[in-house]
Amino acid sequence: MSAQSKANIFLERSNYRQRRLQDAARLLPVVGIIVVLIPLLWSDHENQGTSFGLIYIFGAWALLVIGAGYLSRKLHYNPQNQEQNTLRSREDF
Amino acid sequence: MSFNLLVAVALVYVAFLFTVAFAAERLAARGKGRFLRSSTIYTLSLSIYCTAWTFYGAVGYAARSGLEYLTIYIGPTLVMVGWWWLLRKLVRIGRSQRITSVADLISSRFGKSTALGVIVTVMAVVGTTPYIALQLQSVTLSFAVFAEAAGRGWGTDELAQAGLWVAVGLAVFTILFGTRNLDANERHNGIVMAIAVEAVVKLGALMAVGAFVVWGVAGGVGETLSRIDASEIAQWEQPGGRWVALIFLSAAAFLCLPRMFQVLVVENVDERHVVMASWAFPLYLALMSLFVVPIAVIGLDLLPEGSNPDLFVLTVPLSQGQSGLAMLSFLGGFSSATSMVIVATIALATMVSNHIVVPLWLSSSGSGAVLSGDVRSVVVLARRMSIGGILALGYVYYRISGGSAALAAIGLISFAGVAQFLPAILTGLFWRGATRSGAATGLIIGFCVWAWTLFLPSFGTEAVINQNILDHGPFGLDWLRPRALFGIEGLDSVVHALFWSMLLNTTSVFVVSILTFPTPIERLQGAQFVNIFEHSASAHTWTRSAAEAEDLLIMLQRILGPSEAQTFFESEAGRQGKGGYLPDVTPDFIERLEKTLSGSVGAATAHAMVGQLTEGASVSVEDLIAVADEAAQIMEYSSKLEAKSAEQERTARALRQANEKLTALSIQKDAFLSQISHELRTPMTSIRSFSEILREGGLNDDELGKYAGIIHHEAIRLTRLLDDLLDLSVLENGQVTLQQQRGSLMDLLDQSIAATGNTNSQMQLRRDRDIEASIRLDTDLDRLSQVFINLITNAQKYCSAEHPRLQIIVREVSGRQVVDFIDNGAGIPPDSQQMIFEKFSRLADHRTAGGAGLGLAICREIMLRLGGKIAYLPGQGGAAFRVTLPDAEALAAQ
Repeated sequence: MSAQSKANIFLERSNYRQRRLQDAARLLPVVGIIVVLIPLLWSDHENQGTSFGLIYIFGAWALLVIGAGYLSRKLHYNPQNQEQNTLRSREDF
Repeated sequence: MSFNLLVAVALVYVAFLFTVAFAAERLAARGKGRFLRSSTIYTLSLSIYCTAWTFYGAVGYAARSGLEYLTIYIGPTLVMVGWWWLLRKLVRIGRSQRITSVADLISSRFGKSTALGVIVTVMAVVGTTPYIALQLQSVTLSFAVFAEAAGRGWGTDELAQAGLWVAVGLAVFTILFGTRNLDANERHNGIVMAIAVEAVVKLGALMAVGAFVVWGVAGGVGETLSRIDASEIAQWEQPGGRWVALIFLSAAAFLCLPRMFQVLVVENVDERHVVMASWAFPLYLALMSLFVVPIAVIGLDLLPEGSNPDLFVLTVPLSQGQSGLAMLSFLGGFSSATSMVIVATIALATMVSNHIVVPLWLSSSGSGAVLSGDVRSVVVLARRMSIGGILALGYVYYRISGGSAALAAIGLISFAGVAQFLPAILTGLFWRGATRSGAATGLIIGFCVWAWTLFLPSFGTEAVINQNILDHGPFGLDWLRPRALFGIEGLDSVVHALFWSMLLNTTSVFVVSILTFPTPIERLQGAQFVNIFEHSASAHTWTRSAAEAEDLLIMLQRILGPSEAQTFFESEAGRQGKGGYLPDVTPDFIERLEKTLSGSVGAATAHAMVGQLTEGASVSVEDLIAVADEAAQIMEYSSKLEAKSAEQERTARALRQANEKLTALSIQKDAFLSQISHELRTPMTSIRSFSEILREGGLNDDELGKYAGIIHHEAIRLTRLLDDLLDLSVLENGQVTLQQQRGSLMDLLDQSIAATGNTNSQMQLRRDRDIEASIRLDTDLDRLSQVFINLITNAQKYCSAEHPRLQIIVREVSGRQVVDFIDNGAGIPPDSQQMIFEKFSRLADHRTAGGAGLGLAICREIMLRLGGKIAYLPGQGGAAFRVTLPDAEALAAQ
């Protein structure tokens, strides 16, 4: 019985993980928008240099790319999978 | 480096592209195309977002405005990273609904509306043509740079000629690889492969130039940064409004540009490719934009004042003597321009043929998809002509527009134009309440605002919008000034136009959608699109199959070509477990057929064609509602019919009964007549025969007396019979007049007995005169007496006892006074008890009795008329008749 429940826990964990990854996928563009709008706050500030701006933007860009890359790896996205067929996540608990 | 070498290299490159496209198509045709459609190819194909405007123009943009150029790449990055929200749904819908273009998406969502398809197509063509002109210009300018470097300056004539050559070459390439087959999914394997190759070339070229600039010229990253800090664009003064607006604009354009939609959604073969592209494409964009600022800065440093910063990518390597690098850079720019033009032209041509030409042709040809000619050739011809036409338009625009400064702004103007599709797309995808009217209103308003505030002013103040209108508004209407709508001044023109067009567009979509009611098919499509993740893709709910499979095969062959159509049919037949090419025309099959067809000619046209052929075999919700109405009507009608038929049955039954009665009556009448004639004849015979005897004479007195007596007797009998008949007839017809009299029962019975002439020696009578005296009668006493006389006479005649005795008993039974006449004879057998009241019915040989058999019939009629009854009373030993005396009221009621 304990083996059974362990198996159940494992399965549930992977499902749970998938759902959290899906949440992360939803969240990432929001973070991206915020990050990209931050330069607006810099007017009349010291950090107005083009070089600084370049570094900032490309740094943020790299983070977005890495984040999206990681998600694409870990999210076992399967269009046939009914569980993933929703824009809103459906939790049982 | 000689100019001719450059031209040669360019031509070789073009030939190489042709080869790649051709090989890809061949492989795909042989069924080995799987590897061609990997996620890498998909990601690379998205690179057509980076056109010559971004290859050359980005550097110029950076040189002028610093980091603002990044907005053009940040928008698409956000869209790709946010694939879970939007792109996933878009691609899913595109694949399941077989969407072939932006126009198809919008048209299909809002009820497969041809009108919307036309609007979007027109807007797309207007918005994209300047952009094509921009590409032509970039290519020709790049040629001019090399010509200049080789010593031959180019004037406008040479530029125009070069532009013409490029346009023609592009038309040939596009027609060749874009319209040779009509793929059911609208996929162009060769083109996509060529685009992917070009993506690599342009990235490689730009990065090579960038690397050269950073490490070759500047001497490393640190040095580059310090040179940036020392340059003109060291300070990044970014107007916030533009930063946000341009990010939004580039994101919108990324989705709405026809060419982008083509590679993102239409050419997508596997939804999972989107997942890889979500990080790979932003990476590509980042790499493309990484070296833009270093190149700009170095260019500003190295090259003389007034040189065109747009061409730094070429001129910087050339100035450093790197002609090889310059040539590579040239190829990169060339790739960017040509890939954009090819895909954009195909996308536009698809829209024009599917949403304008074919519907027009179908409606004008009237009789339908199969009969009048070859649809496939019409579609292909329409596509080819559209390609030629669009490139011609682009070339014309390029010639008319003049200087490069005007064209550079066109990039953003073009983006803003196609961004007008966004409200319709987004509301269509996420809101079931969006209606066709709302979308159409939004599109038209957005287009008009865009044209007024951005597009028309771009032609310069000598064209449509002159300076007067700019300053004071049309017809002096201040609030309609193209650069300051509603009096809001001071906004950058792009921001201003974007703000107003998006605001008015979106608002009208919402308001009009809320106010209007969608048609059933709009609602169906709305549910399908918005809930795509929860549904299967089945659109139709009920079908009738009227078309032969063969007709459908003929039609499909005309669109897709024989081999592809037959393949589809064969697979469908196989799916149904049949051999051969003709599957059963089931609802599923019709649905799949329509989907396949819509991949070539668009959903609206496919629906119309299949509908025409199968005469509505796939029934839409609209039809269903009509059918339901019909069914309700039919049910009502049939229930009416049932009621009518029941009524008719009743009538028939009644008629049958009446007929039976009439027949019975007729038989009765015949019987009656025969009886009468018999009855009349019998005494007549006696009278006649005895009269003859008398006439003969020679009789003595005794005989004379006897025979005369017989004649007399018979005559009396005859008379009596006739009297009785008459009486009966009068009684039956109700023509009798009844005299109401009062008297006692005792008196009446005394009278009746006296009338019968009965003496005690003939028949003994037992009565109770006291009781009789107590009964008062108020009726027609004569008639009642007639009944009593008849009964007593009958008893006298027929009582067979040795000492006949008649009892007359007065009783009260069930509240009525009755008089029973009971004799002590043999009685009447049960089966005759009813019959004796019939006319002419006699039980024994009647000649001895001397009656006609009408007596009891007359009694019955009399009693009926008086409101009483007469009936046989069984179980009394002898014959017994019960006369029920009438109530006083009964007579009054007569």
